[in-house]
Amino acid sequence: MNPVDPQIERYLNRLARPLERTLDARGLEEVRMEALFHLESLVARERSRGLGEEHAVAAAIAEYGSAEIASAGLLDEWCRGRQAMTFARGSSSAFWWSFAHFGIAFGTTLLLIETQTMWPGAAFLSTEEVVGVFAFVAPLLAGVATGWRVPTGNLRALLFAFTPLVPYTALVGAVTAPFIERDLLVNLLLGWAAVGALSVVITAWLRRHGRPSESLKALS
Amino acid sequence: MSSDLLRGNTPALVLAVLREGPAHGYTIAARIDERADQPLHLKHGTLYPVLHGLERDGWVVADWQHPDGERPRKVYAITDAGRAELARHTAEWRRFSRTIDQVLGVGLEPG
Repeated sequence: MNPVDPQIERYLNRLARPLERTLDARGLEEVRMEALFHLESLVARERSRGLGEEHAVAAAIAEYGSAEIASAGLLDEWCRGRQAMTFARGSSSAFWWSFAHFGIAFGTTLLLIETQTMWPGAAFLSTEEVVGVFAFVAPLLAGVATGWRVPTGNLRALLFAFTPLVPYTALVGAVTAPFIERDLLVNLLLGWAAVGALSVVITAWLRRHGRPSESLKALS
Repeated sequence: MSSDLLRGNTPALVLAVLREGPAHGYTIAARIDERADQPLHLKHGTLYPVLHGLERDGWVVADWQHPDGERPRKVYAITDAGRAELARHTAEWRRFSRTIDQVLGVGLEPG
Protein backbone atom coordinates (compact mmCIF):
# COMPACT_ATOMS: atom_id res chain seq x y z
CA MET A 1 0.00 0.00 0.00
CA ASN A 2 1.12 3.51 -0.77
CA PRO A 3 2.06 5.81 2.11
CA VAL A 4 -0.60 8.25 3.23
CA ASP A 5 -0.45 11.68 1.58
CA PRO A 6 0.84 14.22 4.15
CA GLN A 7 -2.11 16.55 3.51
CA ILE A 8 -4.53 13.70 4.12
CA GLU A 9 -2.58 12.66 7.20
CA ARG A 10 -2.94 16.18 8.62
CA TYR A 11 -6.64 16.13 7.82
CA LEU A 12 -7.07 12.79 9.59
CA ASN A 13 -5.26 14.17 12.64
CA ARG A 14 -7.65 17.14 12.73
CA LEU A 15 -10.57 14.76 12.32
CA ALA A 16 -9.45 12.46 15.14
CA ARG A 17 -8.19 14.98 17.68
CA PRO A 18 -11.61 16.10 19.06
CA LEU A 19 -12.55 12.43 19.44
CA GLU A 20 -9.51 11.30 21.42
CA ARG A 21 -11.08 11.89 24.80
CA THR A 22 -14.24 10.05 23.86
CA LEU A 23 -13.40 7.11 21.65
CA ASP A 24 -11.07 4.32 22.61
CA ALA A 25 -8.04 3.47 20.51
CA ARG A 26 -9.92 1.02 18.33
CA GLY A 27 -12.76 3.46 17.69
CA LEU A 28 -10.30 6.19 16.69
CA GLU A 29 -8.49 3.82 14.40
CA GLU A 30 -11.73 2.88 12.64
CA VAL A 31 -12.69 6.54 12.17
CA ARG A 32 -9.32 7.24 10.57
CA MET A 33 -9.34 4.15 8.38
CA GLU A 34 -12.83 4.83 7.09
CA ALA A 35 -12.07 8.47 6.30
CA LEU A 36 -8.74 7.53 4.70
CA PHE A 37 -10.34 5.06 2.30
CA HIS A 38 -13.01 7.59 1.36
CA LEU A 39 -10.54 10.43 0.81
CA GLU A 40 -8.22 8.30 -1.30
CA SER A 41 -11.21 7.18 -3.40
CA LEU A 42 -12.08 10.84 -3.97
CA VAL A 43 -8.47 11.58 -4.90
CA ALA A 44 -8.50 8.74 -7.42
CA ARG A 45 -11.70 10.12 -8.92
CA GLU A 46 -10.25 13.62 -9.21
CA ARG A 47 -7.04 12.24 -10.77
CA SER A 48 -9.16 10.38 -13.35
CA ARG A 49 -10.73 13.74 -14.22
CA GLY A 50 -7.29 15.12 -15.05
CA LEU A 51 -6.27 16.92 -11.85
CA GLY A 52 -2.71 16.75 -10.58
CA GLU A 53 -2.02 14.98 -7.29
CA GLU A 54 -1.91 18.08 -5.11
CA HIS A 55 -5.08 19.59 -6.57
CA ALA A 56 -6.83 16.22 -6.42
CA VAL A 57 -6.09 15.93 -2.71
CA ALA A 58 -7.34 19.46 -2.08
CA ALA A 59 -10.50 18.79 -4.08
CA ALA A 60 -11.07 15.52 -2.22
CA ILE A 61 -10.73 17.20 1.16
CA ALA A 62 -13.05 20.00 0.08
CA GLU A 63 -15.69 17.50 -1.00
CA TYR A 64 -15.31 15.46 2.18
CA GLY A 65 -15.88 18.61 4.21
CA SER A 66 -14.45 20.35 7.22
CA ALA A 67 -12.64 17.98 9.59
CA GLU A 68 -14.02 19.87 12.56
CA ILE A 69 -17.60 19.57 11.35
CA ALA A 70 -17.14 15.91 10.44
CA SER A 71 -15.72 15.05 13.87
CA ALA A 72 -18.42 17.12 15.60
CA GLY A 73 -21.00 15.02 13.76
CA LEU A 74 -19.30 11.80 14.86
CA LEU A 75 -19.07 13.02 18.44
CA ASP A 76 -22.70 14.05 18.43
CA GLU A 77 -23.73 10.66 17.10
CA TRP A 78 -21.53 8.89 19.66
CA CYS A 79 -23.19 10.83 22.49
CA ARG A 80 -26.60 10.03 21.10
CA GLY A 81 -25.62 6.40 20.89
CA ARG A 82 -24.47 6.32 24.49
CA GLN A 83 -27.73 7.91 25.58
CA ALA A 84 -29.66 5.41 23.51
CA MET A 85 -27.78 2.56 25.14
CA THR A 86 -28.69 4.31 28.40
CA PHE A 87 -26.30 4.52 31.24
CA ALA A 88 -28.68 2.26 33.16
CA ARG A 89 -28.11 -0.59 30.73
CA GLY A 90 -24.35 -0.17 30.79
CA SER A 91 -24.46 0.11 34.56
CA SER A 92 -26.68 -2.95 34.92
CA SER A 93 -24.34 -4.99 32.74
CA ALA A 94 -21.32 -3.81 34.74
CA PHE A 95 -23.05 -4.68 38.03
CA TRP A 96 -23.92 -8.23 36.99
CA TRP A 97 -20.48 -8.97 35.53
CA SER A 98 -18.90 -7.72 38.74
CA PHE A 99 -21.36 -9.75 40.79
CA ALA A 100 -20.47 -12.89 38.83
CA HIS A 101 -16.69 -12.45 38.82
CA PHE A 102 -16.32 -11.45 42.45
CA GLY A 103 -18.78 -14.20 43.34
CA ILE A 104 -16.45 -16.71 41.74
CA ALA A 105 -13.54 -15.19 43.64
CA PHE A 106 -15.44 -15.44 46.90
CA GLY A 107 -16.58 -18.99 46.15
CA THR A 108 -13.07 -20.13 45.33
CA THR A 109 -11.75 -18.64 48.54
CA LEU A 110 -14.57 -20.20 50.56
CA LEU A 111 -13.84 -23.59 49.00
CA LEU A 112 -10.20 -23.36 49.94
CA ILE A 113 -11.02 -22.38 53.50
CA GLU A 114 -13.56 -25.18 53.83
CA THR A 115 -10.97 -27.61 52.54
CA GLN A 116 -8.53 -26.37 55.12
CA THR A 117 -10.93 -26.71 58.02
CA MET A 118 -12.94 -29.81 57.14
CA TRP A 119 -10.19 -31.96 55.67
CA PRO A 120 -6.92 -30.69 57.11
CA GLY A 121 -5.18 -33.76 55.86
CA ALA A 122 -6.23 -33.06 52.30
CA ALA A 123 -5.32 -29.36 52.35
CA PHE A 124 -2.85 -28.52 49.57
CA LEU A 125 -2.33 -24.92 50.65
CA SER A 126 -1.28 -23.68 54.04
CA THR A 127 -3.51 -21.26 55.89
CA GLU A 128 -1.16 -18.41 55.02
CA GLU A 129 -1.30 -19.32 51.35
CA VAL A 130 -5.08 -19.41 51.42
CA VAL A 131 -5.09 -16.00 53.00
CA GLY A 132 -2.78 -14.81 50.25
CA VAL A 133 -5.15 -16.16 47.60
CA PHE A 134 -8.25 -14.51 48.97
CA ALA A 135 -6.48 -11.27 49.87
CA PHE A 136 -4.73 -10.74 46.55
CA VAL A 137 -5.08 -13.24 43.73
CA ALA A 138 -8.84 -13.82 43.79
CA PRO A 139 -9.92 -10.14 43.79
CA LEU A 140 -7.18 -9.30 41.29
CA LEU A 141 -8.40 -11.87 38.76
CA ALA A 142 -12.03 -10.96 39.39
CA GLY A 143 -11.23 -7.26 39.00
CA VAL A 144 -9.40 -7.80 35.71
CA ALA A 145 -12.26 -9.93 34.37
CA THR A 146 -14.79 -7.29 35.43
CA GLY A 147 -12.71 -4.39 34.05
CA TRP A 148 -12.60 -6.21 30.73
CA ARG A 149 -16.40 -6.12 30.59
CA VAL A 150 -17.22 -2.69 32.00
CA PRO A 151 -18.20 -0.14 29.30
CA THR A 152 -15.22 2.21 29.06
CA GLY A 153 -15.83 5.91 29.48
CA ASN A 154 -18.96 5.29 31.53
CA LEU A 155 -18.30 6.46 35.07
CA ARG A 156 -21.68 5.39 36.34
CA ALA A 157 -21.12 1.84 35.05
CA LEU A 158 -17.76 1.80 36.80
CA LEU A 159 -19.38 2.78 40.09
CA PHE A 160 -22.01 0.08 39.62
CA ALA A 161 -19.19 -2.42 39.06
CA PHE A 162 -17.84 -1.57 42.52
CA THR A 163 -21.17 -2.21 44.23
CA PRO A 164 -20.88 -6.02 44.59
CA LEU A 165 -17.51 -5.54 46.27
CA VAL A 166 -19.25 -4.34 49.43
CA PRO A 167 -21.36 -7.44 50.18
CA TYR A 168 -18.65 -9.81 49.01
CA THR A 169 -16.08 -8.15 51.23
CA ALA A 170 -18.48 -8.51 54.14
CA LEU A 171 -19.03 -12.19 53.28
CA VAL A 172 -15.29 -12.85 53.10
CA GLY A 173 -14.98 -11.23 56.52
CA ALA A 174 -17.80 -13.33 57.95
CA VAL A 175 -16.30 -16.54 56.63
CA THR A 176 -12.70 -15.89 57.70
CA ALA A 177 -13.39 -14.14 61.02
CA PRO A 178 -13.19 -17.36 63.09
CA PHE A 179 -9.71 -18.09 61.79
CA ILE A 180 -7.92 -14.74 61.74
CA GLU A 181 -7.09 -12.08 64.31
CA ARG A 182 -9.30 -9.02 64.16
CA ASP A 183 -6.61 -6.50 63.17
CA LEU A 184 -5.28 -8.73 60.44
CA LEU A 185 -8.81 -9.43 59.26
CA VAL A 186 -9.58 -5.73 58.85
CA ASN A 187 -6.39 -5.21 56.84
CA LEU A 188 -7.09 -8.21 54.67
CA LEU A 189 -10.65 -7.11 53.94
CA LEU A 190 -9.49 -3.63 53.03
CA GLY A 191 -6.86 -5.21 50.79
CA TRP A 192 -9.46 -7.48 49.19
CA ALA A 193 -11.71 -4.55 48.35
CA ALA A 194 -8.85 -2.27 47.27
CA VAL A 195 -7.19 -4.85 45.00
CA GLY A 196 -10.54 -5.68 43.44
CA ALA A 197 -11.49 -2.05 42.84
CA LEU A 198 -8.07 -1.03 41.52
CA SER A 199 -7.83 -3.96 39.13
CA VAL A 200 -11.27 -3.04 37.69
CA VAL A 201 -10.22 0.57 37.19
CA ILE A 202 -6.78 -0.19 35.75
CA THR A 203 -8.10 -2.82 33.35
CA ALA A 204 -10.89 -0.51 32.12
CA TRP A 205 -8.36 2.31 31.68
CA LEU A 206 -5.95 0.11 29.73
CA ARG A 207 -8.78 -1.00 27.45
CA ARG A 208 -9.72 2.58 26.75
CA HIS A 209 -6.21 3.82 26.10
CA GLY A 210 -4.68 0.73 24.55
CA ARG A 211 -2.02 0.93 21.85
CA PRO A 212 -3.29 1.41 18.28
CA SER A 213 -3.16 -1.77 16.28
CA GLU A 214 -0.47 -2.58 13.79
CA SER A 215 -2.80 -1.72 10.90
CA LEU A 216 -2.91 1.92 12.01
CA LYS A 217 0.88 2.07 12.26
CA ALA A 218 1.05 0.67 8.75
CA LEU A 219 -1.00 3.62 7.53
CA SER A 220 1.58 6.15 8.77
CA MET B 1 -31.61 22.53 -1.24
CA SER B 2 -32.12 23.63 2.36
CA SER B 3 -29.52 22.05 4.63
CA ASP B 4 -32.19 21.23 7.22
CA LEU B 5 -34.26 19.43 4.59
CA LEU B 6 -31.22 17.52 3.40
CA ARG B 7 -30.07 16.66 6.90
CA GLY B 8 -33.47 15.24 7.86
CA ASN B 9 -33.62 13.05 4.77
CA THR B 10 -30.02 11.87 4.54
CA PRO B 11 -30.70 8.64 6.45
CA ALA B 12 -33.45 7.76 3.98
CA LEU B 13 -31.17 8.57 1.04
CA VAL B 14 -28.53 6.25 2.46
CA LEU B 15 -31.04 3.46 3.03
CA ALA B 16 -32.36 3.90 -0.51
CA VAL B 17 -28.87 3.42 -1.92
CA LEU B 18 -28.17 0.41 0.30
CA ARG B 19 -31.43 -1.18 -0.76
CA GLU B 20 -29.71 -1.85 -4.09
CA GLY B 21 -26.83 -3.63 -2.43
CA PRO B 22 -24.04 -3.31 0.15
CA ALA B 23 -21.69 -0.38 -0.29
CA HIS B 24 -19.03 1.60 1.50
CA GLY B 25 -19.32 5.29 2.28
CA TYR B 26 -17.69 6.59 -0.90
CA THR B 27 -19.97 4.50 -3.13
CA ILE B 28 -23.03 5.60 -1.15
CA ALA B 29 -22.11 9.25 -1.67
CA ALA B 30 -21.40 8.70 -5.36
CA ARG B 31 -24.73 6.93 -5.96
CA ILE B 32 -26.67 9.67 -4.18
CA ASP B 33 -25.01 12.22 -6.46
CA GLU B 34 -25.72 10.12 -9.55
CA ARG B 35 -29.41 9.70 -8.79
CA ALA B 36 -30.15 13.32 -7.96
CA ASP B 37 -30.92 15.49 -10.99
CA GLN B 38 -29.77 18.53 -9.06
CA PRO B 39 -26.59 18.73 -6.99
CA LEU B 40 -27.36 18.16 -3.33
CA HIS B 41 -24.02 19.57 -2.12
CA LEU B 42 -23.83 16.84 0.49
CA LYS B 43 -20.43 16.87 2.19
CA HIS B 44 -19.24 13.29 2.21
CA GLY B 45 -17.95 13.47 5.77
CA THR B 46 -21.50 14.03 7.01
CA LEU B 47 -22.48 10.56 5.85
CA TYR B 48 -20.54 8.74 8.55
CA PRO B 49 -22.46 9.98 11.59
CA VAL B 50 -25.60 9.02 9.67
CA LEU B 51 -24.23 5.56 8.91
CA HIS B 52 -23.22 5.01 12.52
CA GLY B 53 -26.68 6.08 13.64
CA LEU B 54 -28.31 3.70 11.21
CA GLU B 55 -26.05 0.93 12.47
CA ARG B 56 -26.91 1.74 16.08
CA ASP B 57 -30.63 1.63 15.27
CA GLY B 58 -30.23 -1.74 13.58
CA TRP B 59 -31.21 -0.50 10.13
CA VAL B 60 -27.85 -1.32 8.61
CA VAL B 61 -25.05 -3.69 9.49
CA ALA B 62 -21.41 -3.09 8.74
CA ASP B 63 -18.32 -5.18 8.25
CA TRP B 64 -14.69 -4.38 7.56
CA GLN B 65 -13.11 -5.79 4.43
CA HIS B 66 -9.35 -6.16 4.08
CA PRO B 67 -8.52 -6.85 0.42
CA ASP B 68 -4.92 -7.83 -0.21
CA GLY B 69 -2.73 -4.84 -0.93
CA GLU B 70 -5.56 -2.33 -0.56
CA ARG B 71 -6.88 -0.07 2.14
CA PRO B 72 -9.37 -1.61 4.55
CA ARG B 73 -12.90 -0.43 3.94
CA LYS B 74 -16.10 -0.65 5.91
CA VAL B 75 -19.05 -1.94 3.94
CA TYR B 76 -22.63 -1.33 4.99
CA ALA B 77 -25.70 -3.41 4.17
CA ILE B 78 -29.36 -2.71 4.83
CA THR B 79 -31.28 -4.96 7.20
CA ASP B 80 -34.94 -6.01 7.07
CA ALA B 81 -35.65 -3.41 9.72
CA GLY B 82 -33.91 -0.86 7.52
CA ARG B 83 -36.08 -1.78 4.56
CA ALA B 84 -39.18 -1.35 6.71
CA GLU B 85 -37.95 2.01 7.93
CA LEU B 86 -37.24 3.13 4.37
CA ALA B 87 -40.75 2.10 3.30
CA ARG B 88 -42.23 3.98 6.25
CA HIS B 89 -40.19 7.10 5.51
CA THR B 90 -41.01 6.98 1.80
CA ALA B 91 -44.76 6.79 2.52
CA GLU B 92 -44.48 9.62 5.02
CA TRP B 93 -42.51 11.75 2.56
CA ARG B 94 -45.09 11.21 -0.16
CA ARG B 95 -47.90 12.27 2.17
CA PHE B 96 -45.90 15.27 3.33
CA SER B 97 -44.86 16.48 -0.13
CA ARG B 98 -48.40 16.00 -1.44
CA THR B 99 -49.78 18.09 1.41
CA ILE B 100 -47.19 20.82 0.89
CA ASP B 101 -47.94 20.86 -2.84
CA GLN B 102 -51.63 21.28 -2.07
CA VAL B 103 -51.04 24.16 0.30
CA LEU B 104 -48.62 25.86 -2.06
CA GLY B 105 -50.94 25.29 -4.99
CA VAL B 106 -48.29 23.43 -6.94
CA GLY B 107 -49.72 21.78 -10.04
CA LEU B 108 -52.95 23.83 -9.91
CA GLU B 109 -51.67 26.81 -11.93
CA PRO B 110 -51.80 26.67 -15.74
CA GLY B 111 -48.47 25.99 -17.48
